[in-house]
Parts: sequence; structure tokens; C-alpha cells
Amino acid sequence: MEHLSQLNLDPSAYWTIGIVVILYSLLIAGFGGYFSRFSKNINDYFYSGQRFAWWLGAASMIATGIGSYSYLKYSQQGLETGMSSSMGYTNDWFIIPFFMFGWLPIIYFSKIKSIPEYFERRFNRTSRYISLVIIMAYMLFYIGYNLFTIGIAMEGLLGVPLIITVPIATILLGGYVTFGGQTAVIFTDLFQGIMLYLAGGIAIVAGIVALGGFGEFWSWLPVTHRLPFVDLLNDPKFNTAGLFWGEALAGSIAFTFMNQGFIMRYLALKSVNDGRKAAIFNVLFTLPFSAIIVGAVGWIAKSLIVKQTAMGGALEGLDPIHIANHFHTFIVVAWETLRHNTIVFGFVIAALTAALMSTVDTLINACSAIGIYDIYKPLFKPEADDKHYLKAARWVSGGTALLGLLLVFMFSHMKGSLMSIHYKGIMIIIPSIVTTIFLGAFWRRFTAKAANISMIVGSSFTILTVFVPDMIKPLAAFVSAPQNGIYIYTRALFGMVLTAVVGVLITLLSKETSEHLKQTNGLTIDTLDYAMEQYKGGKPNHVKGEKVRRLPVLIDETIPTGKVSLSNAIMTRMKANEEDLIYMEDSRWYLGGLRSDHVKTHTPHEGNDEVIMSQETFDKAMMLKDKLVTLEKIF
Amino acid sequence: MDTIQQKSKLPLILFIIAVLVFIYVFPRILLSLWGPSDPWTCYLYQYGFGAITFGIGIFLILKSGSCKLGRGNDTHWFKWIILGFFLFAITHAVWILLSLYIPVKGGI
Repeated sequence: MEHLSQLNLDPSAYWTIGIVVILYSLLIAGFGGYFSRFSKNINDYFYSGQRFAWWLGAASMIATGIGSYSYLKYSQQGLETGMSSSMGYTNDWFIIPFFMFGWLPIIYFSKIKSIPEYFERRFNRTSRYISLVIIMAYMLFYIGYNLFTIGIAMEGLLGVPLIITVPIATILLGGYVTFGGQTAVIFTDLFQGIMLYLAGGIAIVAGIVALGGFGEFWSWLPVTHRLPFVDLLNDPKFNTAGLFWGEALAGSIAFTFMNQGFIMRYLALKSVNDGRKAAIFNVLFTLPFSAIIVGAVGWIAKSLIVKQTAMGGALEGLDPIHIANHFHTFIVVAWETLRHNTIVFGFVIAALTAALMSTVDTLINACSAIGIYDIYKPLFKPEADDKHYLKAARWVSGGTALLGLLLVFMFSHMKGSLMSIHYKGIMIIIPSIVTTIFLGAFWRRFTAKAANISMIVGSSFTILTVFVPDMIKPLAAFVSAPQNGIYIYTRALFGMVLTAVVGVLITLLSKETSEHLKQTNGLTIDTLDYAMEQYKGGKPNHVKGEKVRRLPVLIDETIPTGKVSLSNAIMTRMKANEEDLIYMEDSRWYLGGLRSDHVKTHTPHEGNDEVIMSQETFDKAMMLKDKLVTLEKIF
Repeated sequence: MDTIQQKSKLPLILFIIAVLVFIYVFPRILLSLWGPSDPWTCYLYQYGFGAITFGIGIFLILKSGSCKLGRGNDTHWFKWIILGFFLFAITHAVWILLSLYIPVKGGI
């Protein structure tokens, strides 16, 4: 209740805010429920059948990337260290080449369903289950952590104990994820992303207006708080050197390469080309913009406090800003700068809830995918129909939500700030697996034996450093990172280096076999031509053609299922040959590929612009009668 | 990468040694020149090591043939990758300059 008194809410304000949040949550649950009709089989449920446009994936990544903890953690960091709070969002570019031309095409063309599945195909079954344990730990950590932070925020805001708010949030989430699947998640996240930016934007504009304009905001902000980087070494919990090794490298690789939620977003897109567009947009625009949305209220808070102190009292039209607990910077500043407007504030709080829902829904769906593809299907029921797996997937989603809920109670007993709880956990979990993914994807010779041993040794010693932190000291000294006995970020570097050294040594001591080369075909960066050929089922046609829009459809049952017959003129415009892979979608761009499918070109017809296909092909693409289609050659 | 190793291991070994020497020496030079609190030390620390990481990535995608300049959209995306690196580096540099050279009213 301490935080409640900071806001001075009266009972009517509670009700207004509470009603806005509940209405918003119901709206989202209904929205997800509507899109559940587009999940017809298990592939749709998890991956939406690889059919969406890049912008839909990129937009839904906004909401996936921003959790409820982001607002709280980054606003607090923004208040304490200023704009350097954005560092975690602006240091991902270094790994972009590896992702765009390495990992993305590998997982897309090999039609991997989950990262553990990659481990089995690339290495062996033991690798699959070692990686599964690590990845599930990573995802469940995030689910529990998100639920925990929303519980904390609600407790501070409404005075309702975490034990009540978190189960309610979990039930609502479980509802639309369990029944909706990936399509529901993508579309609700698209909506939530917009709301999230809108609400964050409102809080920022209100803060800037309260300060008297952007010029005032900047002028009152101390130099230390304006800078994009924090001191290289000073703060053991937040320093540039540690952030580079732990966050820019280990954290970014983990988030981009092994976060099953993000991976599934990319796998839901219509092509690798669209995946690359989404990746560029995400790192170049979405992440920096998100850094502002989640951190700017903290920067504004600092400026407000400095100005208030210099003026000798509260600013005009505002109560004095006093943030007793920095953890609630966002809530306190938004409430004050919105001048106690309960409806607008309620909307901002709803966005906070939205941030939770949109991150956790993705993670629950992702855990469910791993549960089905990596545990249930291979170990318990290898030969069942889609309907069965779909039902099982819904049970797994519900179970995952419940497991996340249980973790909340573990977090509630942990000590330290949100920031330290977050990074302390993540930096222990990720090092060995990100290194193994990297070596597996970029070094064909890397063996299964090396992968298994290095993951176990890397993880074990990383955990050991929690009890013997001085093991990290020599490495921290070598890279000139802080040597303070805490080593939150350099712990990840230690784990990565150790895993790499063990993995490389074992590989070099092993003999390379022809079987190994055969097994790794299409699963490493230097065998992508093979992967592409396997994906298409023929030689790729890389000649760039035109995207042909607004074509009428004709049904002809003589055309084989999965194929379309086009006129020679259309084939020429697309620079397509027979048997080329074509993406066919409803011409209404705003559907983003909701009604679409991949087909192959059949023998051309002599007619005009008609796209001729069988009824089954038409139905599979979820096309509507009398609606025009757009065609694009993939390769 | 496998092929590269079989053909000639020496350049790879020399490259690894050079990277290790750089990792050891580079931050020490920065610290001796400007100290840990100067924003340019932090900037160069991130972009110095970042450039090494990024450069290895560029080398790998070109050498392995996963990015073939002139094929399909590969050149287009390659240009974006290079452009993005400089965009971030320039933005951060301008940001530091604006932070340092616009006066602060609070006098802090």
C-alpha cells in the first residue's frame, strides 16, 4: 500500500482505472478469440503456415519485445542513469549479419519447428534434450518474470495483492492463447503494439508538456543523463563494458536466435526475404523507438525533479514529484503529468497490462510448440492426427501458463531490484546454448559430442560462478570489464568462452566423418544452397520478377492441388518458370497474408490474366469468392 | 568455414591471435587516454569490439556463400546491413556531441 499512497488515488479513481483495464483485457481476449478460427491445423496453430507479410510480423514483434517489466525497469533506469537506459535496445546491430544471412535462412529453409529440433537434426537426440531444458528454463523464466512484474505494478497501483491479480491475468492470457494459437497471438500483438506505443506516447507527451516543451526537458537534463552510454566500469550492475559482452552479444543472440517466440514470428512470415525486412525494421526502427517508449518517462522524471529543485517547489499545475520507490517511476510520473486524469491514466495502465499479455502470450505459445514438437510427439504419441495434437497443444498452453504462475511465487521471495533479478537469471541460463547454436550454425565441423559436452560443462561452470564469482575475474580483467565480485554480465562472457573452448577442443580432437557431413547438410551457413533446394523441391530461380496484383481466380479441377496455372504474360512479368514457388494472397494488402498460401506454377494457359486452380487449393489458401489475388515469385 | 580451415590454418590462427591482442590492448589504450567516465571511451569500447564482431559476421556470410552479391535481393540486404552499422555509429556519436555541447540549465 506504500506505493498506493504515493498516487493519492480516491475510491472513484480506483474504479475508473480498474474498469478501463478490465474492458481492455476483455477486448483483447475477444480479439484473440476471433482470430482463432484461422488455426485449422497444428502448423497454423503454431506457425500460421508461413504466410504473413513482413510488416505484420514486425508490428507484432513490438509487443512481443516489450514486456510489462520493460516499463518499470527502464523507467527506473532512466531516472537513475538517464538515456543510457536505451543501451540494451540499441546495441543489437553487430549480430545482424549472422542472423539475416545465417540463422534465419537455416531455420526457415530447413522447416525447423523448434530450436531443440534443430539440435537433434544438427547434432543428435541428446543435444535436443539438453537444449530443451535450457530453452524451457529461459522461457519459463520470462513468463514468470512478466507475471511477477505486472503483479507488483498492480499491487503498487491498486493495492490488490499479487496473489489475486497474477492468477486473474494468467487466466485471461491462457484464454486467448490456448484457444487462439499463433494467428491469434500475431493479430492481438499487432493491436497491442499500437496501443502500447500510443499509451507510452501519451505519457511522454504529457511529461514534456508538463516540463514546458522539449527544449526545457533537454535543458534541465544533466549531461550524465543525456548520454547514450553509462560509465564504462563504475556501476557493477549497469556499465558499458559489461553490457557489451553480456547484453549486446549474449543477450542479443539469445533474444534473436533462440527465443522461440521470436523464432516463431519469423517462421510465420511468407519468405526469408520478408523475414529479413522484418529483422531490419525491428532492429533499426522498432527497438530504438521502443527504448524511448519504455525509458523516456524516467528521463522526464529526472528533468522534472531537477527543474523542481531549481525552482524551489512544484511546477505549475503539478503536485510536487516525489518518487520514494524508483521502481514505480513510470506509474508515479505518468499519474502526476497526466494531472490525475483517471481515464487516460487507466488507458496507460491498460497498456502496461497489454505489454505483459503480448509478451507472455508469445512465450506460452512458444513453450507449447516445444512441448508438442519436442516432448509429446516424439516421446509419447508419434503418430496422431492434427486434431489430436491441436487439442494437446491447448492443454500444454494451459499448463505452461500455470507453471509461469507458480514461478511468480518463487520470484516474490527473491531479493534485489527488478533489474538485478532479471539479468542475474538470464546471464546464467543463456551462455552455453547461444554459443552452441553459434558454433553449430557457423562451423560445420562442430560435432554432436562437442556440443553436448560443451553445453553441460558451460552451463555447470556458469552456475558454479554464482558461488565462486572470482572464477570470472581473470576474464573480466582481460576485457577490461569491472572486477567487482558481482560480474552480472561478464558471467555470460565466461560461460560463452568456456563453452566455445571446450566445444572447439573436442571437435578438433575428433575425426570428421562423411556421415557427419551428410547429417549437417542444409543446417549450416555454408550449405544453404542445398537447404533452399530442399525447401523448394527443385532448383531455385533467383531472377527478380515483378509482383503481379489484382488477378481474378478461376476454378478448374484439372489443375493439381497446390499448383496454379498462369498465362504466359503473367509468367513473363514474374520471371517465373514452371514449378517455381509462388506466394498467392488476397489482394487486400491490409490482411497481411491472412488469406494466402504458397503454391507452384503449373503449365501456363492460353487465356488472359486468370489464376486457375482447383477448389482445394483455393480453400487451403482461405481465399474468398470474387476477391482478387496477388502473386509474388519466391524463387 | 570448414573449407577455410582445411586449406590454410595459419591465417586463421594469426587472426585469432590478432583479435585476442586487440581485445586486451584496445580498452587499455582507451582507458589510458580518456578514463572510464568519458563517453567517447564507452563509445569506442562498444563500436570497437562491435566492429570486430560485425566484421567477422560480414566475412562469414560472404565467404560461406550464404550472401552472394548479385543474386536475388542479396546485394540489397547487404547494403542495408552495412548502412545500419554506420547509422547506429553516427547516431550515437551525434547524440554524445549534443549531450556535451548544449548547455544545461540546472548547471549539473
